[in-house]
Order: sequence, then C-alpha cells, then structure tokens
Amino acid sequence: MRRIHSILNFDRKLYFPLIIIYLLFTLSTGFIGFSFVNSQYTQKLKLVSNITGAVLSKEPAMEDILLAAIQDTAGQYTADGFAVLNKYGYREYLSIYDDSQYRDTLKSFLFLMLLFFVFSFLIITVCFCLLDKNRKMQEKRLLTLLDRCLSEDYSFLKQRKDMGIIFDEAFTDTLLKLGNKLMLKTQALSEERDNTKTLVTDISHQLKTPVSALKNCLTMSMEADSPKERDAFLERCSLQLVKLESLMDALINISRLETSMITLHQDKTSLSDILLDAVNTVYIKALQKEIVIEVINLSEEQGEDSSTFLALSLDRKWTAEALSNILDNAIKYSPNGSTITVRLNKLYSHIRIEIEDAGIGIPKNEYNKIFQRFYRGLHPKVQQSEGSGVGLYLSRRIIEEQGGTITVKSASRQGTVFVIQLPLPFI
Amino acid sequence: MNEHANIILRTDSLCKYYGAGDNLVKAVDCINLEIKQGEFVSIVGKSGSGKSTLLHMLGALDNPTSGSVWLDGENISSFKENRLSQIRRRKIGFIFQSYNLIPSLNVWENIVLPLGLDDQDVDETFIQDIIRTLGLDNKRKNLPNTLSGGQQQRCAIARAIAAKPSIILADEPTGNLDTKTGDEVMALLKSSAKKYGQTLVVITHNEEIAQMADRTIMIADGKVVG
Repeated sequence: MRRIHSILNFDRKLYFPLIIIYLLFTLSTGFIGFSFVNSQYTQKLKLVSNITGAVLSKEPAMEDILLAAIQDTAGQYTADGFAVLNKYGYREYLSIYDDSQYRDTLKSFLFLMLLFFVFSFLIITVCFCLLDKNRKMQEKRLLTLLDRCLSEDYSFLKQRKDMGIIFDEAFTDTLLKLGNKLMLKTQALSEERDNTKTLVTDISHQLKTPVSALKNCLTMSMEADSPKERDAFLERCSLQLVKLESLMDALINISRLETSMITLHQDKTSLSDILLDAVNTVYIKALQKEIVIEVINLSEEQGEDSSTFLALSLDRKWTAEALSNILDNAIKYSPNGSTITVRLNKLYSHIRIEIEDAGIGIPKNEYNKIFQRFYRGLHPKVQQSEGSGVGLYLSRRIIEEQGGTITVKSASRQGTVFVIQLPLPFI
Repeated sequence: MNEHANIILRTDSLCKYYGAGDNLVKAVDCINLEIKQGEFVSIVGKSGSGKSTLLHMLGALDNPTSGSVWLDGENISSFKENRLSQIRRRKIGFIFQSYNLIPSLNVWENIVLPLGLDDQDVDETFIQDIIRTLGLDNKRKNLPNTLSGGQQQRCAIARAIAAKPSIILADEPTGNLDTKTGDEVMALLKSSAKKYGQTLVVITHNEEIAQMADRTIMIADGKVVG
C-alpha cells in the first residue's frame, strides 16, 4: 500500500518536475546556443583583428580602405576575396562541415542537444507512464466501488482515508455522497420491510384479545342454561363486536398509512371545512358529555386577513381524521360540562392550532410516548377506558407527512394542550 | 449489509474537563452517541448540563479532553485546524441562538457567504429553493437588522442548509424567540432538513420543542441519562 501511495502522491507532485524539466530544457538550449554563437563571434573577431593588424602594420595607408570594407554591408569585394582565397584551397560556398573548427563545434552542439532530448524524453515518458498507471488504478478502484454499490456493499463509505489517497478530495466527497444516498435508499427499503413485519405482528397481537373474548362470549351463550343468560352473553358479544369493529377501523387506517396505500392528496382546502369535519365526527360524544367545543380565531381577532385559511394545501379527509382523534381524546378524558378550546392562529409560514382541554392531563415523561403506536397512557382513567393506542400515532403521521408538527404541553390550570402546526402554502 | 453503515455521527467516550484537582469540572463525561443519517435528534438538558459543550465538540468547534468524534467515518478530533475548518464549512451547518448573521451583508449574501469562503460555486436554483421554502423570498435584499427574530433565524437556517452539509447542529435555535415563533421556526427547520435529506441535531432545554424530534437524548451533569 505504501508503494502505491508514493506513486500516487507522485502524480500530484508531477506537475512541478514537468515544469522544471521544461524550463531547464528551454534555458539550456538557449544557453548552449548562445555560448556557441558567442564563441564563433569571438573567433571571427579575432580573425578579422588579425587580418587588419597584419595588413595595417605593413601598410598604414590601407586603414580607410579596410574600414570601408568592414562597414560595407553590400560586400562588393566578396567575389574578389573568394578568388584570392581560392588560391589557398578555399573554395567558394564552403560547407560548414569543411571547416574543422566549425565541424567540431557543431558536433558537440548537436550531441548536447541529443543528450538533452533523450534525457527529457525519458523523464516525460516516465511521468506519463506513472500518470497512466495512476489513472488506470483510479478507474479500477472506481469500478470496484461501483460494483460494490451494485452488490449493496457500502462498507467503503467508512474507508474515506483509503479513497482520499486515490481520488482527489472533491471527487471523494461526491463519490461518498452518492454512496450514502444509495445506501439510504437501500436502508429505507429494508426498514419499510421490517416496519411492515412489526406492523403485522402488532396488529395480530391487538386483534387476539377481543377476538378471543368474543369467542368466549359466544361459547358461553351457546352453553347458556336459560334464555335470559343467553341474551346476556349475546349482549356482551355484540359489545365486543362493536369494540372489534372500531379497532378494525383504526387498524385498517394505520396499515394503509404504513404501507403507503394511502397517499395524502394535498389539495386546496379550507381549514374551516377540515375543522367542521373533525368536530362533526366527535359531535355526538361531546353532546353526551355536555362538552362545549369552542373555536377561537386569534388572527381574526387581531384584525388580520384570514383568507389564507381558505387555501391550505392539505388532505381534507385525513387531516380531519387527525384533528378528530385529538378532539376525541380531549372529550374522552375531560369532565362532563367542561369546555374544549380550539385556538387558530395564522403565523408566518404555518397555521397554529391549539386544542386545549380541561382533562386529566399528560405527565411530562409520557409526552413522547403518547405518539407511539399502540401506546396507552399509565393513568388509571386511560387504562380503564377503551382505545387501541392508535389515534394519536395516526394523527402525528398524517400531520408530519404533510410537513406539519404536533406537540403536547400542559395547560396552564389543568388539562392538556395539543399544538398542531400546519404549513401554509407559499404564494 | 453493514448495520452501522448509516451512522453519520458517533462519539467514543467523549470527555471534556475543565480545571484540575478539586476544581475539576466534568462538563462532558464519557458520552457515547450514535446519530443516524437523516435522523432528527434533540439533546435536552438543563443549563449547565454540558449540552452546549457537547455540541461544540460534535461540530469541531472545541477539542475534547479525551475520546473521539467520528463524522462520516472520519475521526475529526485528530484533524489539524486547516482540515477542521474545511470540515466545518462543507459538512456541518451551524445554527445558533443569537443567529450570528453578518450585519453588513444582506440576506442573500449572508446565505451564500460560507460557499464563497469555500470557493464553491453557488447553486442558485438550490439557494433560491431554500429561500422560498423558508419564506424569505421578498427579504432577499434586506439587512439582518431590518428582520424580526424569526426571520433572522430562518435566514440562519438557510445559510446552514446552503452548503448541503451532512449534518446540521443547532444550539438553542429558538432560545431568543417567543413560543409561537419558536415553534414555527422549529417546524420549518424540521421540514427543510427533511426536504433536503439532512441530519439534524438540536440542543434545547425546551421539552416541547424536543418532542418534534425523532429521538431525544437527555443529558445531565455531562452524562446521557436517557
């Protein structure tokens, strides 16, 4: 691993060596070229000085002619000069190779250039080989990762350090995010499966008691000695049946919600319609206990425009169900003749609904539990009364699914306040 | 499949002690936590119970005396300051009681500021969507001092979400707000964290607010009590 590490690290640092080689190459070429040109220039200068010296020491009068010849760029005596030089073996248009001095210089120049070329070529090839090797390794690693994603093995998400060596940071981050997302999806799926399993177990457990009670009643009535006794047992049977029916209703709702068979249709609806539906559901029960349900619209009292109450984006049927469950509880645990207050308040992004009763209240340590599936309060009155522990759970599910919240707190004097916040649609 | 694979934040015997000898204060005393991705966890405790110290260490704002914090499978307590500030910018969104907005920048600038510090491109559609979700659409050009407390906190929420962090840490986010506004801000924080798939850890002493969480962790005297 360390070896791979060093190679791969080389990749990141490769940039600088390449730049340095490039600079070195350019500079050396320039420098070598310059030094060769310079040496040739010095030699020529020496030669011309020698000739000038030789001629002028004999014939000082020639100075003007020599000066003119040096400054003459047109070279009108060039041909004559060649003619003279020809006598000494110099031919016209001599090739550079024919001059031993030039030849040596050129040779060493070319040799040096070749050396440089080979040297840089080798280094660049090595660099590219390493880069290529690295790229191939990245590809291989990426493929492995993708393969593991396919086979739902997400353990690589824990090995960020290893990945950081191979991929750069932004790439690693994105890869990990992708992996995480996939993993969550898989997780959610398997959670849903588990959820359904526990739901089935819970429901069958819940159904066992009333069904066996019903069965017992029926057996007793069949084995009854007198018609009077039989009627009494049959009466109990029908009571159990009613209980069973309401439990069934609750369970059907819950199982449909849990298995996503219910999709909440968040259509345009008004809060007053929803409230009306909810109150209508519990109206008879309230009447029986002479409980008054009072609705106060705080926004209206403050003189605010409450027209947005008319255009909420909620599922009318299920939201009404959620509210009626809370009202139902409030009625169940409130004394006869008391008042249940429903306060509506339009806030910035939510509508706040407070449902306050004067009932038995909920102890603080049960605040979280009451919203759990099949949880029943510990208060004797709760234990005695009928109920399946489904209502509040269902309410919370429905409200949260629609982007709302539900919390509970103690009322100032006695009883409970449920606070429900439902989102307002953005205009 | 690895069962613990989706744990995003984990602490391992995390401790923070102040002072020495008789004056030794165990602000956080050997806390082990596991927070799953996408979860909304509230940490509840009275003031002085060590919950803020705990949150500061979870957010790499403070060094533990001993123990470690694992974020996304990395032990962040072992990182150098450079890498830590990078992690804070990219992986953690912070929301504080006092909003901590920059007074001289308008709402939009405050929201995109952390992205700019991290040289990230601003995903304008995404930011626009957050701003709309949090109902700040017509306040984009406002300076923080022209906003109400609730609006300022919503702006802080938008800023925390903007960098698409893996986790959002909120320290008493409703501490300066009245009950109604506080509840509303919490509802928005919850729904936007859910919408953008983010893990949310909220510290509060308000048990009513804590109820909105999927899970509540109670802290007392630096220890988890339930």
